[in-house]
Amino acid sequence: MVTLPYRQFGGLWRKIMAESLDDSQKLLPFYLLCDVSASMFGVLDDVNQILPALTVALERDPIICDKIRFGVIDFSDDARLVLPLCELLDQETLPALSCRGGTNYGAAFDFLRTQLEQDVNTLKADGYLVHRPAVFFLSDGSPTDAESSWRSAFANLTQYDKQTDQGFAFYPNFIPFGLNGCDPRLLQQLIHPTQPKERSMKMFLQAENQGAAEAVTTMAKLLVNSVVKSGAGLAGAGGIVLPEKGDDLDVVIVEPDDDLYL
Amino acid sequence: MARTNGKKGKKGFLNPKLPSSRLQVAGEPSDSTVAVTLPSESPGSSLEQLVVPIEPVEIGDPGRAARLHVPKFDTRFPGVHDTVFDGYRIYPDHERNSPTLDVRAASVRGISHRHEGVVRQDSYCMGQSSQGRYLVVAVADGVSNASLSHLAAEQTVCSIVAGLAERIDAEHPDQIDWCAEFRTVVTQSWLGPLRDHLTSVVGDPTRRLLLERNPELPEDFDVVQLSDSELGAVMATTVIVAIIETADEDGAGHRVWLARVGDTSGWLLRRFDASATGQVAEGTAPEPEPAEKDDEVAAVMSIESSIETVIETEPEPVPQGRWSSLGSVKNDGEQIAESGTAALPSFHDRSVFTDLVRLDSGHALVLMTDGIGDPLGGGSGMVGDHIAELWSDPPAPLAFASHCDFARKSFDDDRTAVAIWPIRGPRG
Repeated sequence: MVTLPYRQFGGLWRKIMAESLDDSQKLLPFYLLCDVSASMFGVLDDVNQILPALTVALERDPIICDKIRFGVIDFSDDARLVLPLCELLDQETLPALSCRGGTNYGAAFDFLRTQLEQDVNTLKADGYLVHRPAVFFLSDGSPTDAESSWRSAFANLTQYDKQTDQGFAFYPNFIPFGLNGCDPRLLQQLIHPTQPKERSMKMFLQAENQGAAEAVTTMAKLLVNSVVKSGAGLAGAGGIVLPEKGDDLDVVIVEPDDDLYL
Repeated sequence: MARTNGKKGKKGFLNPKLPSSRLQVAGEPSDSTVAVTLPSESPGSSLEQLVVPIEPVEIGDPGRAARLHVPKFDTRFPGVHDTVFDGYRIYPDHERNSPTLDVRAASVRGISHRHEGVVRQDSYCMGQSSQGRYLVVAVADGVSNASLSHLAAEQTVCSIVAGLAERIDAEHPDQIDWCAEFRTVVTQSWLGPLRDHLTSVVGDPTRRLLLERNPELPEDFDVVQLSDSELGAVMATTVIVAIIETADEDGAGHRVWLARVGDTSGWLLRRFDASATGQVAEGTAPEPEPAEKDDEVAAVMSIESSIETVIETEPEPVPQGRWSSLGSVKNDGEQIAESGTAALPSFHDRSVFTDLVRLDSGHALVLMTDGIGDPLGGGSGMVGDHIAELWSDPPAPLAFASHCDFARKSFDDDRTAVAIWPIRGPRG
């Protein structure tokens, strides 16, 4: 029996691994795509608590931390990579978000698509068995760019036909979080995918009589919980786990086909 | 910890230099992969050859979880063990003169379920037909988001093995209607335990969950009123069944009939050739030329021919293709990994995969749940190499269980494997 000196093969070895899927590790990537337009000024301090809270949760849960990666992208007039996809527990410092100008959804979706393509391809080349990324999209406003522009960017991010392999194979599970000021009907259209029902995502809205800071804290809890539960689900049927209507959470849960009378 | 990602000899996986305080258990003294002599300071010299230290196996990066997880038991189901394992030798007839197959089986809870205090949802069962002609083996993996899936897995393997073992001598394996077989298992073996569970466990959320799913169900519904999809929300399992001829009658290998639903998989593992260890196989080495005229020349020729023979009989340099999947490999060719699977009870006839293969003494048949199948991938990586080496010959049953329990980052699902080796003749 000749044992292969795995480490010595370098790039070639990684390529072989990526092609055969053998020896790959499971990985579930999560992204926070956060609106940092001027109106978010009051809540960014609370948004900045999400990463520390998630780190604490991961430290407590050795099962999950091996399987998930987290990244942060912010957007206003343009989009920026604030925290490249990483193992949070390996980070010595965590970045903080700060405000810039408008609310350009198109720029956010375009940037996210490019980033997803790059990250998933890199991870696959490194021999990871990558599960479909999940994106938490946090916004408190309506897009300031042209509707046709952000709609086409969103279609570009989410449309994929498996039969013909047309579109974006790494399309994310897209989960909008709306704070007061957002357009809920518009955000509802960003839930993706909506079919089949058992794989459909949801949207979460700030509850009535709730301050924005409080809402962000609730959503942070929800996000942390979802990351942990979805990571645990990788061992079984998988998928992104989100809270159900009726769960004891101070947040409005919206399904893709709900009628909104707000 | 026995790291297995370096270049190591065949016996390198289990390091015999262990402190005497390690877990020590009795095993098969004849098996060189686990039978070791204790350090000299250990007491109880009479046990020396019987004590088998089992060390955790790591393949590559074990991850944080292997080190930090805390195993807890599931208070809801105290009767379900964390780990079960078996080792048997199979005889084709009642006289029991010459055994033909060795079997090892183990089902171990994944570290995710250990840490969360959730019951093991994998199960296996095996049985021999009443006249001894067939060995019937089933392996099942309960789907984790249905809360009583461990019952589904256990009921499925036990019921299917018992049913087939009883009938199969009279009814040829070719005649089995597998779709009907799997549907019968659900209706005949699942509903009773589910009814018992719903009526006996106070405060169990299963009944409420079913009522929420289907508001038309009466409050005091009986389990026979459940549709497949409602049943599948609380009990679901993948399954693979193998029927193996216990005698290799025509010498072409034991026939194996396979049927499966979902991502529990069957493999043929090519064994390392016992005769190809770099030694000249008996009878193949040419006799030295009789030294009639020139002793020196004759001696040199003899050495040269021996060297050639040695080179020819060396094992192949790279163990390519040691694992052959029976059926497709999960996630092969997919752009993005999926963890969904077909499963009982809601399966389409198209998702029943069947196969007929021959199992010769150069191979082992391995049935496994995706807890091992996922890290194995297509079998050509580190995990495939190491398991191929560990399972080239049947290990001690306890060692087999510990091999299933290997640590590898991000793989924390329940693990079950049943392996069957035809017993090699005296010539290997």
